[in-house]
Amino acid sequence: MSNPGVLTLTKKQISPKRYFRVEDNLGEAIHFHYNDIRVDLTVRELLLIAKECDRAIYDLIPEKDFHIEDYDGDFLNRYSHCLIDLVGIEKGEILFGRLYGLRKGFFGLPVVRRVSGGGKVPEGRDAPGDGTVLEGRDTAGSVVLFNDSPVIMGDVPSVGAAETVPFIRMKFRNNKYSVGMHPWVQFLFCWDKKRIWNLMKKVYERIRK
Amino acid sequence: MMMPDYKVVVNILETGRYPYCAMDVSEEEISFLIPEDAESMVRDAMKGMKGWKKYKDRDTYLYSLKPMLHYGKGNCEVYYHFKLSCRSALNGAWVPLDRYINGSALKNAVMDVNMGFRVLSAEDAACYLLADCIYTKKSFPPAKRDVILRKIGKADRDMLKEKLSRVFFKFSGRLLDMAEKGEFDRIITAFFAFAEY
Repeated sequence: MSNPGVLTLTKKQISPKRYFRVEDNLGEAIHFHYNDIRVDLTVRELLLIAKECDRAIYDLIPEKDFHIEDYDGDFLNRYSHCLIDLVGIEKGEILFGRLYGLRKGFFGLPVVRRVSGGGKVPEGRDAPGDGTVLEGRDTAGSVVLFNDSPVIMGDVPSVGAAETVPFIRMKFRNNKYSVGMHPWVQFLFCWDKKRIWNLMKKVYERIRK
Repeated sequence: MMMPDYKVVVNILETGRYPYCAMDVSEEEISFLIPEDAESMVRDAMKGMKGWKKYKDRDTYLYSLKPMLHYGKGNCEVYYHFKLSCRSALNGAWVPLDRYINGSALKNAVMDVNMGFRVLSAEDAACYLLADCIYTKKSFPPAKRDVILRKIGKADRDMLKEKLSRVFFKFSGRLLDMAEKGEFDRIITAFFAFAEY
């Protein structure tokens, strides 16, 4: 309580009743919180645990061409639930202009747009020009594609349409996790327990405010 | 000091035998530490003083910390705090400093003959000013550096180290070292990069 220098390194609501959080209490200790349990660690111990987590990931994922260092930490965090279904990795280079990116369209619905821009997106609606980035920030490294989809998963780099970029294509069991060309359809009509829970939570928080 | 009006409040606090002390003093700003039961008396006193405007507080206060009172008149500002506190690094909310330091603050306040009112002890002042600069102001203004060095020079070394360790933990040794060497420009970066704990 008395340390003003508490930084949350990461947090995740694993399920409605399970919550995990890692805090850096500057100068004092690293805290792992799992519900009511707290584990105190030194910075060195945290780094050791991170290394052991890397090892555990490699043990869990059968695909031998998967390497953690090829991916951004945020990307791995966002798509960690997919990795257990990974069955293949393909690497190569692709013309950037042939790819698409995820962005928000009307009413915030997810839509797919070609990264190099196209005539179909009217002006005044965040219309990207040739080579303009739709979202995200500069990233070093490869773009990630899922299965046979041309949609970039994760950050979209700032690259000209005529340039080639390295890609990593992750192939999943039964073509799971692919993003179709009309993701707004799935958004509107496919609801699972987690989505319903998140929506109810947002409504409850709004009412409380 | 350009604000004689606050002395009215100081006189009232002393007449009412409330413990109080000044935490931080500058040309245009003064912060007082007062007990919670003196709040209504201070509010009434400031209301009765011409030209002083009470500012609304929109900040967040954690761990049951009572929001400070903030008054302004022209360029001058007065703050009344109920505990020594600083902004949290996480979200900028106000959090109280360790209870050992807050327990000592009013008890060990000393009379400053030049200023004519009570101020924090050297150890509490050094601790508070360092926390204020690192967490709240996020910089060390030149005037504050001189005050910090003066307070460190006057402080009881062991007590100062103990109190600093309640706020900065394992960084307190290095902090004291850097402050004494005048390396104020590097302190904040060094603190947030510190990993030896």
